[in-house]
Amino acid sequence: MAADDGTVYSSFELKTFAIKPANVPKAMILRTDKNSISEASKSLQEIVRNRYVYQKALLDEVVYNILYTASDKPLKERINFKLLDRDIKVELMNNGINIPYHFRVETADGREVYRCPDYSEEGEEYTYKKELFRNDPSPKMGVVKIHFPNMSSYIFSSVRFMIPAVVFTVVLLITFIFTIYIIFRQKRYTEIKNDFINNMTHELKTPISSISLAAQMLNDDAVPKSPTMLKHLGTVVNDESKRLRFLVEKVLQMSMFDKQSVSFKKKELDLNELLENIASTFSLRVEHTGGHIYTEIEAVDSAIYVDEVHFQNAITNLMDNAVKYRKPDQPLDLYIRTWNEKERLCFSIRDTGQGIKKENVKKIFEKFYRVHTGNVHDVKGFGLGLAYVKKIITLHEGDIKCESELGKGTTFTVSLPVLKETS
Amino acid sequence: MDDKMKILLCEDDENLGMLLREYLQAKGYVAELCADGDAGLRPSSRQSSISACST
Repeated sequence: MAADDGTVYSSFELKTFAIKPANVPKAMILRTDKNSISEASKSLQEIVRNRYVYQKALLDEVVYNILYTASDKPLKERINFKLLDRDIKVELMNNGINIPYHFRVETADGREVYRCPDYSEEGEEYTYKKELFRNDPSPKMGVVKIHFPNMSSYIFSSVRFMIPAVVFTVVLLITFIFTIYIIFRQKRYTEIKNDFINNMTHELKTPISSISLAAQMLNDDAVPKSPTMLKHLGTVVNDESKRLRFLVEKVLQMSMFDKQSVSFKKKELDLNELLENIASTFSLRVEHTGGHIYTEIEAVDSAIYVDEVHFQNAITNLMDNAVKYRKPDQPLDLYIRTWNEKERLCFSIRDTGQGIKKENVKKIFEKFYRVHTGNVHDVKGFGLGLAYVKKIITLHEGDIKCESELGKGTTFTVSLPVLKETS
Repeated sequence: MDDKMKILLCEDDENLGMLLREYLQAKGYVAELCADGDAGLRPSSRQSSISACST
């Protein structure tokens, strides 16, 4: 509308204009008088104004139609479903998705308006939806929902070629880890083996030197050959050769580990007797430290069926350890006890020695394991004794366990099947 | 040369140690036996000591 001061404002109203633009004169013939210029300009202004207002009203009408009139129609009539289907298909193709799909159109409150002719509910878990007519107020908005029945297999098939690669990578990784583990284990074994060889060389050389020295002394005229001297030399040769034999036997025992089947010459023995005999051979050494061996025989059924040599070795080993690992300046007491428990024969050897740290206790039965004491080689040994003992006991259907407290002492408990007396 | 040379002997094995000492003494040296290196290092009336160490 045009106000009197020339400003133009617009208002919204619905009306049809009777004046069609064509009716507006396109040209004017001017009369040549003074007033005609201003009049002509005024009427030109008027024409332009009218044109503007007309076009604006036209635009308003179109917009109004879109906003209001359109949405009065039900959803069904507003959409050409064939076109919709085609559009969807084309769009999906453009994105490279050419698997079958189903779609349906619903109103915002869930009422179904249309579904595609071959609709099936398969694959409905993953439905994609999009609003139609976004500019509608929300209650009137329509929604198209699409789902793909073969979606998971489609996705899977595009990934499928990767699966052999992944599997291969995993296998490779496992092999690699395994190899590294083996390498470290081998390294440890080599270290152990070298330690063992060094230790053994030293251990064996010493008695050999003693014996050769004694022999040298015997040959040397400078050494007085008094009876005491001769006796002394003889004792040395005897002792050292015994020691040598003992060490070599110990090493030979190791060959047992590698041989799978060991032939035992089993015979019936009395455990109580056996223990007492071995204890008496150790009594000198124990008393030398100021201690004593206490034997408590409480077992009634003490007959066992074992290989004498190996079994004696095993028990000797245990007692030997007790003496070896005693507290250096204190007297060693050994308590040997036998008893019957639940059809089995048990015995224990307890000492008041150094004891073993808790974390080492479970490792002591491992072959070559020796508790690490740095470079202090005050106790001579190969680390084989307990592994041998455990093997012998196990092969005789027994079992052995160890309890220890650092600083207090150690106890080894063995249980064996008892031989029932058949009279 | 002084015949009574003093020899400091460090040997942890008892038998071998004693044997060595007796042998050396029979040969005319004054031999002193120590059980290990620490004991040997402690000064104990040294005069012209020549150490003999064991393997």
